[in-house]
Amino acid sequence: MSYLELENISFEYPNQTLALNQISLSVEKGEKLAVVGENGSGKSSLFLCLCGIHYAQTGRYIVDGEEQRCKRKDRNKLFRKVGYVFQDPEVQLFASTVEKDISFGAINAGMKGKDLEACMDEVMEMTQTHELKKNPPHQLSYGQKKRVAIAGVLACKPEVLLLDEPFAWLDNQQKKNTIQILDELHQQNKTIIISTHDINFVYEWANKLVVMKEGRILAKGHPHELLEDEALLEQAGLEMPLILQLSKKLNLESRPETMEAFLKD
Amino acid sequence: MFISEKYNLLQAKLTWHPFEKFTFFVAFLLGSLLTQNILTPFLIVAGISAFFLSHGLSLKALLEIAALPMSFMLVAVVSIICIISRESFEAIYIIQISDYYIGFSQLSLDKGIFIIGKAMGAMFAFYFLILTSPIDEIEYLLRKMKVPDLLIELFVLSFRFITILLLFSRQCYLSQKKRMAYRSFSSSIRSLGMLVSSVLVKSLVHADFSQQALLNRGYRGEMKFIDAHGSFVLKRLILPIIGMIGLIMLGQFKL
Ligand SMILES: Nc1ncnc2c1ncn2[C@@H]1O[C@H](COP(=O)(O)OP(=O)(O)OP(=O)(O)O)[C@@H](O)[C@H]1O
Ligand SMILES: [Mg+2]
Repeated sequence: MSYLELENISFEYPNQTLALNQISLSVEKGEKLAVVGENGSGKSSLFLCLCGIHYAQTGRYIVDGEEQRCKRKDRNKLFRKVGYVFQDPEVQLFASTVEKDISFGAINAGMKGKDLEACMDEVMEMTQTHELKKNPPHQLSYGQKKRVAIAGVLACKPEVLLLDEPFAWLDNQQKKNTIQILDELHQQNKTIIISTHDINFVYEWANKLVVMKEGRILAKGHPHELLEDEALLEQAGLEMPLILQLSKKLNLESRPETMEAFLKD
Repeated sequence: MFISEKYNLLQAKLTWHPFEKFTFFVAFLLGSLLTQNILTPFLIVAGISAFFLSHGLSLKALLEIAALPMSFMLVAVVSIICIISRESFEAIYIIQISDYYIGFSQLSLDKGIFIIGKAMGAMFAFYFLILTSPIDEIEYLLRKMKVPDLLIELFVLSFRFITILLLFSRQCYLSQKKRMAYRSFSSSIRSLGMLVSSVLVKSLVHADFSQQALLNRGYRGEMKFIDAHGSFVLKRLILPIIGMIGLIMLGQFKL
């Protein structure tokens, strides 16, 4: 059985917007999953359901073999396993210094003393937030806030990490750093789920892609296959990745996997 | 922004332990409140000013923060200094308006100056604490003084929310202004109303999200953080405590 399993999940907001409509999805451990779709297609809603903040009205959600019900105990367990980095870091940072904010999740996860320090060090190293640790959150730039928000979630040591548009408003260097963090996590065999509008990144990075539209899953599969399907792209309002466009134009036999590989040939 | 942010050059430079700063603060506060003469508060204000100046606060900024409490202090003190009476009295300056004599005497003047001195001393003691301690250290002090956790968490969260709302309202105000929302009186009123309501909605939505984010990181009604202020060396309390005793003693002389 897969690590995360969604069966016919539907979720409706109190104002009767049907944000998720009969979603079925399974995610393996260690997978790099990308979720794409136009604005308002339900990506953020899906994430909120995955991490247990919202509960679907119908359908089953199974994590690590345990079915999740709308209970406090379940929910607390789920929070340990699935970490969620909000799209807007502003809502996540609350403590009076960066260091305290990062330590919050780690302490809640039961770390103390040496363990806590080691964990903080590792996380701050990974996200390059060491030099910010004494700053109050409102004195940080947006990209810095974003890094601290990621660090704060990583400190809880979740198995699954959900990132909602992690690259929004980041400069090129910050984006590269974030991708590096993701790669490092992948090496630790963590499951990473990302929602993004950056189709070129999805093509190069993900090993599974979910295309959403109006609360439904249009297609799921490997990005290399899905993103060549012009009818699907048209329907989902997506663009073809640059690499594919170029190699089609140049009538290449093979499909290079990354831009770097493409430019080398 | 907050006064502690505007002049926070001191914060970066002071590496004392929060308790040390706090003891100094108490020394200055008690020194100025328990005094019987004008000399002690004067010494305190001068000392703290010299300290600020030597730690990189500009003279202009110093005068600015000194002037901040002045306006309401003057109003209060004028009412103490001025004497209004039907009979003439021994005074330094006096004028007669129909039946009334208005003026001030040596005694009332002395009293007024004494009160200003005391208040300025106490005010500067507060400045000393605020400008040298970032919010994080104040939180630490509250925790160590065994203030109930609920109040401290409220304090931390409110501070964070206020910074966000201030930022948001400033941006919102600017964007309205750029779209000429404040040109006439009626449109100003309307725009201000919209600003306030959008800030309100924003704060509600934000609170909702924040709570979700807290829950997601394992919040179960208790906020604990790493304690980054190493242990405290008692020896470092000697200086501020001597200062405290000295100032209080000095204040007992009637000059
Ligand atoms: N708090 C809410 N209350 C009611 N409806 C909501 C709420 N949040 C989102 N919706 C609605 O649910 C639908 C899905 O929204 P969602 O935020 O999941 O989209 P998204 O795919 O994340 O979009 P984006 O790419 O813009 O972030 C939208 O139609 C939206 O209007
Ligand atoms: Mg979204």
